[in-house]
This record gives sequence, C-alpha cells and structure tokens, in this order.
Amino acid sequence: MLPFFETIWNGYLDLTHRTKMIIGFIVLFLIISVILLIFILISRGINNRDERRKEQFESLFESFIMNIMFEEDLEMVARHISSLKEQCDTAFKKKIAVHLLLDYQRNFSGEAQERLCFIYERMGLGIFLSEELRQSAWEKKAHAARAMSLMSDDREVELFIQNLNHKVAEVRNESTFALIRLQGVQAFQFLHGYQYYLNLWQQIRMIELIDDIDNSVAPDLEALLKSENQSVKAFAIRLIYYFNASYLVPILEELIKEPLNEECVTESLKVFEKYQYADVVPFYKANYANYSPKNRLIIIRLIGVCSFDDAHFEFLKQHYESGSFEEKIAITQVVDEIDERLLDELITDKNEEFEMIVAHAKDDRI
Amino acid sequence: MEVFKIIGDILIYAFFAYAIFLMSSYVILAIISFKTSSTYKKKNEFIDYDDILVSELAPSVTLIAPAYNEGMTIIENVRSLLSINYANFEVLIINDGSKDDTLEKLKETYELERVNYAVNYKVETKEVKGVYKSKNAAFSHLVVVDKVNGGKADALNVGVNIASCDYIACIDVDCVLEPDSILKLMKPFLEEEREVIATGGVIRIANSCEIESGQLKKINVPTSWIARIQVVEYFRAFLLGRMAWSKLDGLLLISGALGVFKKDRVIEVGGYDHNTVGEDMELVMRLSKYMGENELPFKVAFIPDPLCWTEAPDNWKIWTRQRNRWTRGTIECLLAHKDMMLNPKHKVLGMLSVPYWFLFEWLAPITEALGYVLVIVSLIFGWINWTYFVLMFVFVYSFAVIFSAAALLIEELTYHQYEKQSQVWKLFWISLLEPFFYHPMVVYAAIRGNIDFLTGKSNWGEMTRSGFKKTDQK
Repeated sequence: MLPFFETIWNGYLDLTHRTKMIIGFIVLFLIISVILLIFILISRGINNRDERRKEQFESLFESFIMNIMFEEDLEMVARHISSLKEQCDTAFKKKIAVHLLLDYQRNFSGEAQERLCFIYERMGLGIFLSEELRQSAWEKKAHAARAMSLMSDDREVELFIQNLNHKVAEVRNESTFALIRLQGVQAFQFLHGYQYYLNLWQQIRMIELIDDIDNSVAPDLEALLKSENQSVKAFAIRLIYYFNASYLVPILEELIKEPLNEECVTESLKVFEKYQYADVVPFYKANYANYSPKNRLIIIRLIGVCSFDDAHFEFLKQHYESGSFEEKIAITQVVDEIDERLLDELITDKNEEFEMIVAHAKDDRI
Repeated sequence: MEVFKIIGDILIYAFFAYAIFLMSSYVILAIISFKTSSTYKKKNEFIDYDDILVSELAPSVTLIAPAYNEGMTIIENVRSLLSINYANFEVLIINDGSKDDTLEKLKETYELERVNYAVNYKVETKEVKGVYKSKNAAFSHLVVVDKVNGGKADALNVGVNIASCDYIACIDVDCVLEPDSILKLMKPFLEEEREVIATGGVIRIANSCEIESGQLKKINVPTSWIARIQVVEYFRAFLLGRMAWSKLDGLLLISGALGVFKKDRVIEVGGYDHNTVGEDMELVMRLSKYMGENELPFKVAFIPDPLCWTEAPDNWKIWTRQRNRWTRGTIECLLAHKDMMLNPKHKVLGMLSVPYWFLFEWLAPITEALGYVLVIVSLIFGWINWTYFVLMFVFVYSFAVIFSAAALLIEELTYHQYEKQSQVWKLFWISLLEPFFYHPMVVYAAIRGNIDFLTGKSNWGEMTRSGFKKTDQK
C-alpha cells in the first residue's frame, strides 16, 4: 500500500499551487463535515446517556426521599440522609437533587416542607448552591439564586443584593426575584438604586411573585416613585394600582407635572381613572393636545368617571368634532354611559358614520 | 479566440471570488447563530411563561388569519387558534370573499351573528361586508369578518383596521401553532428597552407529522424527498440565517406564516402593500425604513424556538410556483426600498442586510446560472480544464455539506425535535444528495422568478396543499 500512497503524494507535489490549495480546502471541508457528523452523534449519545442517568438517579432519590419524609425515627432519617449524600457525589447529581427538592417543595407544606429544608441542609445542597453563586458563569449564579430562594435559604442575601446590578439580565432578574421570595415587599427598597431598564416582563414576574406570597401590605413606594430610573418609576406607579395604595395618589399628582416617559404617563392615568381622582382632570384637559392618541383615550375615560359637568361635556364635544375615529368612539361611549340623551347634543349632524359610531361604541368589544 | 479565453479566465476568477465571499458570509452567520442560539436556550431555562399567561398586564394580541376557500379545514383551524396559551387575545378570521362555504361553516359552528361595526379604514382596503361575533360565550374571543376578495395583503389590512388589540399576530390559517407560540413571540415586546416593532419565529415543516385537533402530536421526517430536503433548507434559513441577522439587528424578513407586529406602527406605515407578492418582507422593510428615517431606536426580534408548523409543497410544480413567487417578492422589495442600500441612516440594515440580500439572495441564482452557461460554452469550445472543474465542484459540494451538517448540529444541540437517530440520518443523507438534484431546481425557479418579474407577471400562483396527516388516519 505504501508505494500507492507515495505515488499519490508525489502526484500531489507535482500539482500547481492553485490546485494544491483547492485540494487542501476540499480535504479541510470533508474533515469538518465528518467532525460535525461525529458531534451530532456524540451530542445525541450524551443527551441519551444523561437522560438515562437522570432517570436512574431520580428514581433512587425519590425512594430515599419517601423513606425520609415518612420516617419517624430520627436516627434512621440521619442514616438515610447520609447514604443519600454519599450517592449524591457529583455536581450533575446535586443539580438533579436540587431540582427534585424544588418540585417537592411546591407540592408539600407545613412539617413536610420543613423536613425538605432539613434534607436540603444536611445534604450540603445549600453549600453547593452558595459555591455556584460565587462562580463566574452567569447561568450558575442565576440558577443558585433561584434555587436558594425557593428553598427559603437566606444565607446569601448580601450576594443577591450585590447581583441586583449584575451585567447579565438573568442574574439581575433571579437575584431580584430571590430577594422578593425571601423578604416579600420589603425587597422593593433595593430597586431604588437599580441602574438598568426594569422591563415589563420583570415587572409582571415581580407582581406575580408578590401575589403568591403576600399582597396585604403595600411596600414603601414613595422612594421608588421618586427614582430617576423611569422604568422603576413606572413599576412603582403600577404597584399603587396593584396594592390599592390610594394614599399615594396625591404624590403621584405632584409627579405628573415632571417630565415622564410614555409608560409612566399611561400608568398614572390608569391610577387616576381607578381612583376617579378629579383633581388632575383640569391639568390633563389643559395639556390634552400633548398626549399620545392612546393616552388621550384614557383621559376621555378619566373625565367620564370623574364628576361630570357641563364644562367637561363642552370639552368632549369640542374634541368630538376634531378628534380621531377612536376618540369619537371613546367620547360617544363616555357620554352614552352618563346620559344617553346627551348623544343628541353631542352631534347634531346624525349621518351614517355617526350611527355606526354609536352602534360601535355600544358594542362591548371596544 | 485568445481574447475570449482571457475574458473566460477573468470570469472564472470573478466567480471564484464571489463564491469565496458568499461562503465566508455563511460561515460568519453560522458562527453568530450558533452562539446566539445556545445563549438563547440557556436564558430560556429561566423564563416562567406561566406568569405572563395569567397576568392582567400582559399586552393584548389580535390573531389575524385570512381565509380564502378554506371550507374543508376552517373549523379545525379556528379551534386550534382559539386554544392558544394566552389570556388577552382575540382571533380575527378574515373571509376574503371565499367562493366556497367557509363563512357558512363558521357561522353555523361558532354560532355567529352579525354585529354593528363602524370600520375605520385607517389602512385602505376593499369593502367589508360584515362583522360577526359569536352568541356563545365560549367563543367570545372570536370575530369573523366577511369582505370582498382582495388578496392576502388586503385581508391582513382589514384585520389591522378591525383589530382591537395593541399587537397583531399575522398567521396563515392552515398553520399549526405551538401552544406557547404567542407567549414566546410577545416576550421581546415586553423586555426590550428599544421599541420592538415585529417578532418572528422559526417555521418548521409539518409534512408527515401527526396532527390532532389542530395540535402537533408526533414529529416525523417527511416521506416525500422534496419536503424532506426543505426540512434541512428551513434549518439553514432559520437556525443559521435569520438568527444571526436578528442578532446583528439586520433582519429583513419575518415569515408571513407567523409574525407579530406593533399595530400602531403598522398603521403609521400604511399596512401591507397590495402590489407585491412579498408582502411579509415588504412590511418589515417599510417599518424598518420608517423607524430609521425618523431616527427611532427599534428592533425586529427573532425567536429560534420552533413555533409554527406548515405544510411544504411536495411536488415540483407547486414548489416551483412558490419559489418563483419568493424570488419576485424579494426583487420587488429590494427595488421598492433601494434607497436603503448602503444608506448609513439605516445602520446594519442599510450597510449590510440590503446589500447582502441584493448580492446573495437576488444575484446568487443568476450568477450560478451564468456559471452553468460558462461551463457549457467552455465545453463547446474545449476550454474546460477538467481537473479544475471536478475540483471546484467537489469544493463547492463539500462546503454545502458542511453547511447542512452545521444546521443539523444546531438543531440537535438546541431543539432536538427529531427523537430517533434514524430521522437524523435521513436528513443527513438527503443533504448529501441535495446539491445534485434540488439545488439546480432552486436556481431554475429563481431564474423563472426573475423572468416573470421582468415580464411583469405579478400573481401569487395557486398553492394547493395535500393536508396534514391526522392521527385518526393512521
């Protein structure tokens, strides 16, 4: 065989530089293709193997957990935990153990939940997660923050606070959520120094978390309302609405005179509409033209829910004539709700469009 | 003759340079996609979609699905749309002057009654004949609009006019949506500081998959070879191409099968364009251009999760019509927005995406066809150097295989939709054969598209579908 390869090699050496280069590329491409194919197969193999290992460990762990949960003898419990700890000797297994404990945590309460925390502690999973929290990989930090807080483990609260302004959004988010899980509404105070954009997705998650924990006590929102970060300010305004914190509405009234972004304006208007806060109506009427089409519709509704008088009606009538289609519908709705007879006064020229607008306004879809 | 030979040599070097440039861009896009996809997957593990599902703060979405002669499947399609995982939504079915019993079936099954509705023609459309809502509270999310036939773009524009929600999801009524698709598509709108004007997701091929009550039950590799090749082709387009362009802020196209848009912006730019067959790409380009010209920071986001399953053409005739239309759509969009080309005001879009689409999406099949002609001429005149010809062929072929293998690898490492190893092998084998019989057809269809564009042909071309495999048909 050797002379054969030698012939090929000599033939190759005789080729021009350009041909050699093309052949070189072809060989490189073919090698890369084979490597990619091998990667695909290895990846499938690893996935399947991990799935199998995971299933095996999960069933082993579950049987141990059941023994521990329903064992009265504390000595036996200690023995079970120590043998489980021996089995749980790699990061992979520890992660599965944490995952399973979190699953149980959701489904159990009272004494059973306390026992789960005991297992978590005695198996050293808290220490494992603390170490993860200190590692540089962002996904480990985020995972640790989530898992520790779900296990009510507050040993690393300081680190969670530090990570609130971490450069990776997921670490910031999970640290915020962890603090809320551990400290409830009190955790909102840490948002005062929040340097990033607090997006609506985070805000929704925070509100849902509070909903799960306790929403009976409103947090101290005054500081957040005065935050220079407009997204934090918008969140604080949403919380006024959410916590029924009507005592903060006068503070909000002061705030609307400052420059606010669109989100803050919309949320403020929703709060005023909810509390039928008539004091702000003159301000909004005076600046009506400066608001976005969407916010104008809320202003119209706000006028409708606050003490409606002739001046308000004149204002609406004036804007009915010059307003957009949506404004016309919103004004028609407001006037119709107050007194259907006023519709005749709203517009004298009852053309086909008017008839359709009235019908449309009465339709509950809008 | 010597002069011709010199010109031939120059052309060969030009083709070679073009090919190297194209291949390099593919490699760069693949690397960016690979990194972006794996980061997205890691980040996705920390997302609780259920929170947004129950929240009052979740923005409202109108699902707009135009229907034309869909009487056979409309009931099931609407049921599928009504069962999506999202709280704050409405489904708007636009009956685009169907000649069959689409509207009658909808009226009967969903207990529809005509309602008074003043249509505000914010975007110009053909006349709306009636708006229908259900008497049954179980279908309170459903609104059906009957209109005079005006084509897909016109039907979508009617939806834009009538939609009551802040966001619109434009959907092909016969697509199968993943239950969480709208949740995932809405996420970028909620989390980006920049204004997100549109989001799109990965479209997958559903041929031979098993569908039950509008839901995907089992994923299979298509039995038809044409459809099977398109699986790999879609992997390359979505997982390697669009993912990278989205990361670079240069995404020009959101697939017409499923895309979510910010309604106000769509109205501001005048809705879908009736005069192009590439209305999906045209709208994204026009929106981007509008934002760029007004110096408004924006993003067109792309979700790499498989969100929508569609039936791919499985015979050459229909497939050629579809590719012909795509080519014409691309040309129309690029020409309509030629002022974006190399315009620094449009940043990556102007400086990179539009030139890329011009050079490698529009011109690539033309260049390739010219290459075929050059080979034939060289054969006739005896200029061909067989060693180089074979070497170049193997060179290009091996690169095509790498690219398909890379797409398969990304799919394997991220979404892992095909459970059996045999399915992956089937896709790999077909990607080895693709350059021999499928790719020349791609070039042929694109050339036909160019010719039809030049001769002024502007129709959609009929698209017939053979229908999904139902589990009860097994």
